[in-house]
Amino acid sequence: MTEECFHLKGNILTSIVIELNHYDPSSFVALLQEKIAKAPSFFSQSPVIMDVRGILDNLDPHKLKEMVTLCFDSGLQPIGFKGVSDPDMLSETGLAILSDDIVRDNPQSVSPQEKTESVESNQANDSANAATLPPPSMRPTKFIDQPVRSGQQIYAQNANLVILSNINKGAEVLADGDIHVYGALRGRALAGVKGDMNARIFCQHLEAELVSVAGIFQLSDNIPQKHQKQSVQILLQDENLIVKSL
Amino acid sequence: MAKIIVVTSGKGGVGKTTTSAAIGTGLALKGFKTVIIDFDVGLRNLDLIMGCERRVVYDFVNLINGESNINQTLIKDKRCEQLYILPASQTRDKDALSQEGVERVLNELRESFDYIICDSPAGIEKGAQMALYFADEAVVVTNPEVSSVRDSDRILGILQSKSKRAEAGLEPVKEHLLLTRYSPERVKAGEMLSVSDVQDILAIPLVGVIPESEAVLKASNQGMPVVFDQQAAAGLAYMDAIGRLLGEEIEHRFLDPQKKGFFQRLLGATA
Ligand SMILES: Nc1ncnc2c1ncn2[C@@H]1O[C@H](COP(=O)(O)OP(=O)(O)OP(=O)(O)O)[C@@H](O)[C@H]1O
Ligand SMILES: [Mg+2]
Repeated sequence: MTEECFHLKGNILTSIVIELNHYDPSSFVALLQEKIAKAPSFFSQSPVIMDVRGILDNLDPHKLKEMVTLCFDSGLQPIGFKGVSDPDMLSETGLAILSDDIVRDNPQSVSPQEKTESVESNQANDSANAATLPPPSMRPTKFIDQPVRSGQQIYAQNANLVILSNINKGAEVLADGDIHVYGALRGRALAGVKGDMNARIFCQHLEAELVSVAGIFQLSDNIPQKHQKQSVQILLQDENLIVKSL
Repeated sequence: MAKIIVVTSGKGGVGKTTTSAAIGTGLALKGFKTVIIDFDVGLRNLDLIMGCERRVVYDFVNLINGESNINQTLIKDKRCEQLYILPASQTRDKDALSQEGVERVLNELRESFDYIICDSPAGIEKGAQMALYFADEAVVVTNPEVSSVRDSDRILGILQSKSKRAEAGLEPVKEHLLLTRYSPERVKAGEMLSVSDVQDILAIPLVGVIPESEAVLKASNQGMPVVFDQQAAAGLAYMDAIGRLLGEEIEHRFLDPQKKGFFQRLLGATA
């Protein structure tokens, strides 16, 4: 038995997209710092994609390189650009061109939600995407009987996800539909990852590192204390992530 | 056909080598022909804890490379008839172990032994994955603290996805939780996780709880696996765990703070 040099595996990545409206280095850094300061762990853990479609008119390789450096300096993990078609533009950055079919837009603006801050909605983007997103044909529910362990990721594509055991810290579960957890939820759970704002998360014991519905995130620190370790549902109401006792 | 048991943990320094030595020796004392393999290439600790470091001539890497044969390489324990040690190389690194080479050696050992105990290196990378790849059962050594539990969780995920049994779709590797360095006093004081805290997270059957014990340190300094010390709680707890590994039903002890008697306190007796 000889082991092959590598195995190919599918993967789905939760990432942050920085959608640029205009660019100059100082305001870019200032805003980055401001966002990061609000939720450091959220930003340090997620890969970042830069969508430069809004600033295509005055783009050059030097600027792109500068953006990458500024991101790294701020402790982010930039992985690629969206909206660039000429590979030469990116050669200095060493990052990837991510075409539109690879990176689906999330209809929501993503932001780790603070208790006091309500999430700004991005209406233009919203309606544009509502028109382009085909209604997903749902597949049968995906059932997981075993604990989901640190380092593991489970994705229920076009389906609801039912976990009958624990989701441990460092584990991540995602579904295009709803997520039901009958053990303790201690890792990350992301429902409606393709943008279904009606998706919900149900769990018996909430101790999550992060919960998200349709791209709107909330970190453990921002989940009210009274819901910790309780049986809850998590849903969107007016584009705010709400935790309700069951 | 031998059963292959890997002793693994993710996190370093939690007691894998101590446990490999104890379980291997205990199984041999119960009459099973047992070999303990040191997969920690480059560090080589097992022979020290087994007290046979001066008798190492050839090692695991020599054997894999065909520079020695099994008879030349295995070290027979002097205290226990049925016990053998396969030492790691001190001069090579973990890349010296090829999967085909490891498989060939394990297949050969399987013919003549009842148990093969694989002492894994720390980490979740190649060295640890090599040690667990061919396992039938796994003893996951965990200390009652958060980072050790997290690493054990990761290694359990790897057992379930990257072992040979997982890849071939065979019956999964049988998992056993062994909590070591457990101090009921510190659990009571809220300084350590309790047995049930750890079980709640890892959700695998508990094969034993080994108390924190000075006897372990003394035993490793003397090159004498702690199961030989039947005065020590740690030695007894390891023998209990071995019984459970063999399917016996044995009640857990040493879970509660010890009430020291007047004389014990006077003599400063150790756990
Ligand atoms: N039950 C115990 N009570 C007290 N000390 C212990 C106990 N178990 C292990 N130790 C001590 O912990 C230290 C580490 O043990 P050991 O070498 O077995 O760990 P390991 O997991 O093999 O480490 P590594 O990851 O470096 O291979 C040693 O000094 C050992 O004596
Ligand atoms: Mg060791």
